[in-house]
Amino acid sequence: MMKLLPNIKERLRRTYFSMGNFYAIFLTFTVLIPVFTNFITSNNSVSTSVDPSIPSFFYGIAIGIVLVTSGFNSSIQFGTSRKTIFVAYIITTVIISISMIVINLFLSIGIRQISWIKNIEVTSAAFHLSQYSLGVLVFDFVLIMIGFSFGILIGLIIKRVKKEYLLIIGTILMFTPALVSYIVERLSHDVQQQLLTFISVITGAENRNIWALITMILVITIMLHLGSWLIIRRQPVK
Amino acid sequence: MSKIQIIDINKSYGKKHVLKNINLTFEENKIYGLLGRNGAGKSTLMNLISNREFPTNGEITLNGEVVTENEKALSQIYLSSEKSLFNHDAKIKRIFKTAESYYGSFNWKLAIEMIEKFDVDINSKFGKLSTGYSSITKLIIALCIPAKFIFLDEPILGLDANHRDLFYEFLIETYQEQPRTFVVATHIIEEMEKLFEHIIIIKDGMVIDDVDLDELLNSCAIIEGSGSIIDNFTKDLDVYYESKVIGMKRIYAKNFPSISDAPDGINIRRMNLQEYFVGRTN
Repeated sequence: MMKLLPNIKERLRRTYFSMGNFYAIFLTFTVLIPVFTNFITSNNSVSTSVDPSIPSFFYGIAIGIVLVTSGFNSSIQFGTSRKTIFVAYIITTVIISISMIVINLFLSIGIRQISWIKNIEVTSAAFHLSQYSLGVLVFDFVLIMIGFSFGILIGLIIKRVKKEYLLIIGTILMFTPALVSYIVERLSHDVQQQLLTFISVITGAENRNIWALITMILVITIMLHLGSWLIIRRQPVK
Repeated sequence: MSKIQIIDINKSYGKKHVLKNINLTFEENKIYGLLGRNGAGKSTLMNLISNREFPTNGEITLNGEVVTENEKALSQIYLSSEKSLFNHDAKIKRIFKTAESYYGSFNWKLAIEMIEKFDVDINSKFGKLSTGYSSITKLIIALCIPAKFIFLDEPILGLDANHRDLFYEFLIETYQEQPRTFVVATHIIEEMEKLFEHIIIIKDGMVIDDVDLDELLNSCAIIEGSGSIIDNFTKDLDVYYESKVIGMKRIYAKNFPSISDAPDGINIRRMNLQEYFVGRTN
């Protein structure tokens, strides 16, 4: 994998640039505008809790799509193998996810230190924990990772599949929740109960176990990457 | 001695068989002309060699090693195609730097000379360039990276006559200074003929000619005449094409030894590559 390093560098350069834009928009809407509003109205009684995890997840999806749709062709142009491109995707997403966790943590601590920012707290929505613990940090990390992985898979599907089929896939995906709900409703009460218990256990909801949820997200992330690999390994340049 | 070998390559898209049993060798330090009419399969062949697409069957090797998904081999092969694969929002200078990081080196001296002569604004975004300047940017990269096999698919697309001349100059100059293999697919045959040493012609997905240019043109002739004189004169020749021009018959013959002793009423001359190509692919 002699072209791995330039691939990672190229992707990081592009992603860090867009990450700067993401945080600029995020801070403007979640911190600066509320602070400005409080300042104008002189109303300091309303407190706001800001959670960067979910926006980071959606940013991950968006940038995952962009990484694939714009970066794949140029990597092939410069003689990179699909295996290297795939490994570069994974390494890049890990580095970016860690970077975002660190930035989110600094935002959380930093904003508390700034005296003129009152009643705004940067926190994580995971399990409604207002304090950053190792579990919350790892949860945020895997949440961003799964966003990236999902984005990469979507990007690869967009690249691979013809537009008319994309429409069909999109329609199927749109109706999937309704279909699942239809099937579940028709199951017996006992089976429904077992299913609910199973979901509670694997998501850690039963005993508020964040590590169970992290494990589940990691497993889904690996499955998404597996799907990506199956597509990318024979992906032609279009 | 480096060489690329194309061994029994076939490529199909669904039921469409685009390349049929292609067997070719590209040797080191030669300039090849890869010719064919639109849809003949030139670009598909180049895409397979440069790992952009996968062959349906067969293999492509560089010095015995399979090229497909092999970065070591792919570092020696570069395709500059009609379709631009660079990031469209990237500035030209950024693309040059990216090329350098992927190949380990970049001939900045030549790049700067070409930038100046072609008057390229390296701060322009690639996606904003005209067709001509987009071609020029791609050519600069193709000539400045250290790959041994450079494939150029329609390299002079959108270039004006002055820029085309400039490109030919740079190609010859860089070829003399640092010999490499160039494989050029083009429809502008008349202009580029002077560059080619070896010709490969593809028709309907099959290689119909794979010969040295001088050898080819020295063995072919156009014979013009009318009536029974030309019929008698050409009846034992290796005729591959004939046409009629204002009542005159024009015969395209291969393996024609000498043009000196033409009988009265018959005009014999050697042909240029474009004439050969048109006759061969009609």
